[in-house]
Order: sequence, then C-alpha cells, then structure tokens
Amino acid sequence: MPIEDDYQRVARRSLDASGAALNEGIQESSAFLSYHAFESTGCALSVVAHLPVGPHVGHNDKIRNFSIAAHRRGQGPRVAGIAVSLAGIRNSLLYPVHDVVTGVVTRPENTITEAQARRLQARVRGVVNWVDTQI
Amino acid sequence: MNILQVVEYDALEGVFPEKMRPSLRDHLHAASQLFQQRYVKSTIRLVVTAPPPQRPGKSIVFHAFATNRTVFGVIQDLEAVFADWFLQTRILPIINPIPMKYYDEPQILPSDWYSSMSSRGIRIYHYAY
Repeated sequence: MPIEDDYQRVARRSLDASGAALNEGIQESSAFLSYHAFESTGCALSVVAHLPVGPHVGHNDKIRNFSIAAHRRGQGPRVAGIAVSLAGIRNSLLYPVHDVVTGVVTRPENTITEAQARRLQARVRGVVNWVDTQI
Repeated sequence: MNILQVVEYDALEGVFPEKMRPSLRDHLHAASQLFQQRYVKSTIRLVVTAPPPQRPGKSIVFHAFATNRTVFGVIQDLEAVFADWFLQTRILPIINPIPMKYYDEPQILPSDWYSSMSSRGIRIYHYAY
C-alpha cells in the first residue's frame, strides 16, 4: 500500500475518533482529532506532490505544504481557510494556554464550542474526500 | 490611552518602521488592503502585528482585539481574509485573539509586548464604529 493511502487511513480513523469525542461532549478532543485528520490528509497529498512530510517536518510546515499542493490543484482557498483556522489553535486544544499578552489562562474546552467542532469536522471530512480523488 | 495610540505605524497608509524589509512591507500592506476589500464581522475591532523587521519567516502572529467569546470563534471571523493573504504570500498567519477589555487598557499588558507594539507595532485593520 503506498504511504499516501496510509496517511488517508490515519485521516479517516482520526475523523471517526473525532465524531466519537463529539458524542461524548469532548469538543476540544474532537477538534484536535479533526486537526490531526487535516494534517494527515495533507501529508497524503504532499507525498503525491513531492513535498516534504514526516516527523522531521514541523506542524505548520505540513499545513503550508498542504495548502501549496492544494492550490496547484484548484482547491487553494478551501484548504487555506481551514489551515488558517487550525494553525493557531493546535496547542490550545491540548493544554491550558497561558497567554503571554493578557496573562489569561484558557482551558482547552473553552477554546471551541461543540457546534464549532462539529462544523470543523464536516469541513475536514470534505477535504479528506477530495484528497481521495487526487491520489 | 488605548492600543491605537500605542501602535505608531499603519500598513494601510504605507507607514512602516524604517528597518523593515520591503517585501514584508508589501505583504503587510496587502493584508491591510484585503481587510478593506472583504467583509469583516464587527466582532473584530482591531488587528495589529509586530513582526521581526528583518526576517519575514514562514509565519507571522497577528493579534486580534475581538468580542467573540471563544478563541476559535475569533479565528473563524478572520479566516476568509487571512486565507486570501496566506494564498498570496505563503506566510501562515497565526491569529492570537485578545479580549476587547485590553483595548482601552494596553498599559496593563506585559511590558515587553507593550514596548514592541510602541516601537514597531503595525495596525492592519481597525473597525470604525
């Protein structure tokens, strides 16, 4: 099985787990798993586009590479929009974040609402389906 | 004093710190122009940045003074305009929401953030209300 298919499998399983977390009312975990699905499907497309992927590539670099690859295939705005939304919240979904500017500590569950996490999951699922058509 | 009186430079007017690279000036000016062209929700009151003057890098942090109650909500309200900018520049925008209560009291923000804003803070967008 080509590695891009493995990345797509990771993406789909992450989306399934994202849905399960939503059903349990854990919206921050759901959103993080959507993020992971987005990054994984991005790696699948980046492999096909001969852009760097793997553990040595930073999270934001993977997202940038995905957006570049998607832009070349006519889906730039769609992927860039999700990329912008996800780039700044990864750590906020995992840990309490102490904002160095305001001093405010934000808990992960207060970063995103259940409705927002549900919409995010649906958008990422659409992108994963599109990547399936490209690899 | 509010944060607007602290931030000296204005990307829309093409006024930037002297030492800033021309390519970065162009990118930030483009961001400000996009805000003029696109619909922006009134939850977003002010967007400022203080990027390193000599090294544009692969990402830039934008601080957004906003009234939305969740971090993700603020980012969503800015997604469209910054997605356009990201596609133009290939620089990933990292959006840092700041509650509106700090708009009128920037002096209570950390001194290093305050000093960087007063020396090289650049206004990208201001909601006129």
